[in-house]
Amino acid sequence: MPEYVYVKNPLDKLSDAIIDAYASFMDKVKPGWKSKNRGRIEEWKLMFYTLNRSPLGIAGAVLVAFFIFLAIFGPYLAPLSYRTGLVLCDLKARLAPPGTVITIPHKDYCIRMGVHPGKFKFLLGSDNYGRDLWSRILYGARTSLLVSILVVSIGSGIGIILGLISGYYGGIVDEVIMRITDMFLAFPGLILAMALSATLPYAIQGWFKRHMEIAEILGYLFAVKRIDYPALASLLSVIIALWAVWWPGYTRLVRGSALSVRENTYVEAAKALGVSDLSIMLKHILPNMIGPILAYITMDLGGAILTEAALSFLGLGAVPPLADWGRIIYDGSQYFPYAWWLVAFPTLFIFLTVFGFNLLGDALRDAFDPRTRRSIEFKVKKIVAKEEAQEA
Amino acid sequence: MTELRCNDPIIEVHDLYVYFYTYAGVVRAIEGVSFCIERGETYCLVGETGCGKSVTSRALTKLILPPGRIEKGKVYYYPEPSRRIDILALSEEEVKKIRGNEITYIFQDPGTALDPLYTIGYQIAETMLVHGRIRRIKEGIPHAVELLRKTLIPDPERRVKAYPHELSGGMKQRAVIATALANNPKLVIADEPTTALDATVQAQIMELLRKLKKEEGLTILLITHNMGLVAEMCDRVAVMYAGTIVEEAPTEELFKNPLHPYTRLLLRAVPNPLRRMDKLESIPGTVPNLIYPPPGCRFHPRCPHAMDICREERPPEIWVNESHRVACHLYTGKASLPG
Amino acid sequence: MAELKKFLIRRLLTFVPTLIGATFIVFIIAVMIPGNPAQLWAGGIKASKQTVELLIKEYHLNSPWYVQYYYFMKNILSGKAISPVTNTNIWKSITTRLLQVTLPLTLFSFILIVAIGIPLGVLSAIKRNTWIDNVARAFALIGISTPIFGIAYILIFWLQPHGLVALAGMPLPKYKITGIPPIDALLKCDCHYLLIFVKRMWLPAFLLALAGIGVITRVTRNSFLDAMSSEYVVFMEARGFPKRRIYMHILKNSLTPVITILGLMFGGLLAGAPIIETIFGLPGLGRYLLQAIYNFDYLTLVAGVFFVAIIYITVNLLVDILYGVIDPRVRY
Repeated sequence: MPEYVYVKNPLDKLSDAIIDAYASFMDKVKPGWKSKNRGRIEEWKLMFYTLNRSPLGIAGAVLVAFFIFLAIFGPYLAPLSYRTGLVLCDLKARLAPPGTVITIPHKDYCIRMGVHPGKFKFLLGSDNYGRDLWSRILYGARTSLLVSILVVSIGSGIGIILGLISGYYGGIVDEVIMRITDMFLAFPGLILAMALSATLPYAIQGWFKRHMEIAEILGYLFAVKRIDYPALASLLSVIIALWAVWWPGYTRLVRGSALSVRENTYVEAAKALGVSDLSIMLKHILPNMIGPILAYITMDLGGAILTEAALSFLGLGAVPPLADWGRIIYDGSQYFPYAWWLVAFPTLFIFLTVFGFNLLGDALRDAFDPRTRRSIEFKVKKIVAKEEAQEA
Repeated sequence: MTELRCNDPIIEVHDLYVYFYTYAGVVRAIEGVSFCIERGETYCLVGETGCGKSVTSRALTKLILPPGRIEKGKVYYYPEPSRRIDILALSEEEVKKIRGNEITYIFQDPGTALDPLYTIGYQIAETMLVHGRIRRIKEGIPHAVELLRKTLIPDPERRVKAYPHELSGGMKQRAVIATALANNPKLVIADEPTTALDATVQAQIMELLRKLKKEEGLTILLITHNMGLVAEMCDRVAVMYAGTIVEEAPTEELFKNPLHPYTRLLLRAVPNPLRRMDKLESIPGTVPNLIYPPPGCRFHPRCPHAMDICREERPPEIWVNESHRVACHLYTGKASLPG
Repeated sequence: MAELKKFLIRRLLTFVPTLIGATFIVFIIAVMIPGNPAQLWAGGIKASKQTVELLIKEYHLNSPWYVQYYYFMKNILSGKAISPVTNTNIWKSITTRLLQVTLPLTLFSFILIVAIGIPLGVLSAIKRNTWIDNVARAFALIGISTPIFGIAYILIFWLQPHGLVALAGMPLPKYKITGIPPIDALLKCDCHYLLIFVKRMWLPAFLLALAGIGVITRVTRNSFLDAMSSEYVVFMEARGFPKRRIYMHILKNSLTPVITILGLMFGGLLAGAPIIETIFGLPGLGRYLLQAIYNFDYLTLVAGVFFVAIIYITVNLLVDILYGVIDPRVRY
């Protein structure tokens, strides 16, 4: 007779520790939080156990963590800045294949660019200006992450709010919101985003001149040198363009679930007790669909990276000399197939990052799905029983 | 091994074990079930929800889907008195020829048993088609009309073109019964056929089953938790508890002289049609977990007469008379009968 | 049937406002361009005053935006609109590019999505939790995650020496029936032309389809698994149905969400066309619109969006009608 004895793996213990730490933190801030939310903490732990049991999900989490690491520390780790072209120092630096080593001479114009004389190795090759591809990819990670976070957070935020309002109130409000949503869904988003990101930069550049502080903040976030601040207008217009096309999908998704949750007795009960609409929406309706939405958002972060890279590839996103993965491919494609590295490496980085988000999102969806979680739940119940037995 | 007492059995089950391999552990759904059904009778399996009645009935045609598995036992099917088929030894292909053809099922919830995207007529005809009774769906439609008429569906020519959602619950169950009868089966297994229906409709469906049994010469295995139905419909009853048969007897005998403590409690918990009762009682305790079933007799934790031996040894099945058997240590002779 | 008629009328009534809304949004975006579009159209700073004046007059650029929009739409709908940048008839340029290149490309992709995505999803569901399932799921996620603009170059580089892809030339057949070359060739049984078409289009169409294949595989798998756990499946087992017949029933039951997504996806294919057309040098609508965006030729852009929206709305209308064909429970 096979017996199913189950032992927590180190990842389970780690996630337990994180959740417990968070719980004690919340308990300090709001005394009594822990005992009030015992069920929820248990639920979170279960979700992590499910996640820990999915090899693909772990692989996705590792890829995502690696990408976030690159995005945060990349600009500091990069051997050169994104705009340093070494072609003037050594002609061999132009379109150098991966692994090429050049010697940088003791010349003023080289040193002024912030390069140390001596040997320099192009780890992943260089482009036609002699810029280091590896450095540009590191800077590009920052661009990708920031754009996708800004796009998805605001885009989904707008969509979720509109969807909640639409689904909760129904009637004429619902009708108006859904008609507008349908209008946006009626033509392909990418074309709208293309049109927007082509026309917006002019307006934004003028706006930047009047509000330098905005450019400063963005420049700091995107790790861009002061001289390139005007170029940031292109990134900001991509972000705004994607906001315009990102929300309708969420509105549809959230409205559908809000409609079904609204019918539940506890929502009626809350209404009868005189709980305000806002707090019913935030405390009773939203938490009930947060799982699928989170999984969707995770996969969407990858989608935003891909879309932004596609726009940049079409010449409608980041403008030179900004480091952007899509733009690197676009610029590099002119030297293809000789300079294959200019296309291959950014493609690989985009793929791995988006793949990571998709793997993680897929595993999260499983973890949030009560049907798939049930099987794990059994195991965990046994652990709990075992631990209680040991304590007793 | 338990001795089976049937003169002309249509089906014989010997020492059947069915386990379900779930993440939580191995669910021992059926352990050591034996019984036989006489040709032409109505045999009842009765017991609480989760006691293994449905699993037993499905195991008769190997209709156990993963993670379930038939561990052990024999199921003999006698199409004619002299021909014996060992069902569990057949391949999936061979069993499929019997299932839906000679042995058919009626399920609990008619609302979900039919494919919502096809008409009633199509689904009846399809059942005939897969067993080679007809060559094309179209040929089956007149048969389907006939079957719907037989199951007392009004206006069968029109209903044959209806989709399941266009029929009421009772009509749907009649359509399901028509599907089950499509290939002139020998044995019909009705798994709680009226549980999902309204009380008035229940009576009509049972009446229909009785009529069909007489007209078609069917043998019926009725699975239910409703003692009233048992009294009304069945020739013989087997009482199941936690995956085992605890008692089997002709219906009248069982109601008059229940031997197993569980049967007695069960009869006290429902209105007994043969006896005047002042109040209904509930059975103390809960149905045991079948992953870690109680050792010995599975009923001992709830049994008012539990003895030491009940905790250690599984009671053997004893024939107390020609047709009445019980699995309880009270009757093994090792202990004295209670008063 | 009367129900269907009512439904179609109702849908047609919302058709027009949606079209106006969609073009309107793009129009608003376009007129947001600061500065004088006439100046840009006439060729920048060097443009002569006369030309600029003429353009302003012709396109009513000094009128309020709603007047501009009115004349835009009037010209486009009457088929008389002339692009201020290319000086060609917008209606004609768009329809030829749409019919000869973009529509064949997207239809080819669409067929690939259906032909690969649905069987893969079904296989994945039937073989759930086996290595086949894992491979199919990983493939689906890879399809969704691949940047086609990068991988296209690598595939061209890899396949071209073997003569597996043709990168130039898309001759038109000599005959014209529907105006869509591959469909005409199919009607005429012109295998030679079809072969040329497939050789030129298979890689672009496959790359365009890649993400869609991934999405449809996932949707089909989940939907098939949902349908598989239905009670009627057990009842079919209980009636001794062969596996293949049961799977056909399950497939039909799991098709509704799949065709919804397929309908929505058609628009995505049209939108993905600019990238693919640019890489493969296909003279299609996507590339044309991209060019229009670069040139601030918003007249062409609005007209392009108008056509894309029409296709998109029509496809989704067909999807809604298809629901009723598949599922008798659907009421229009």
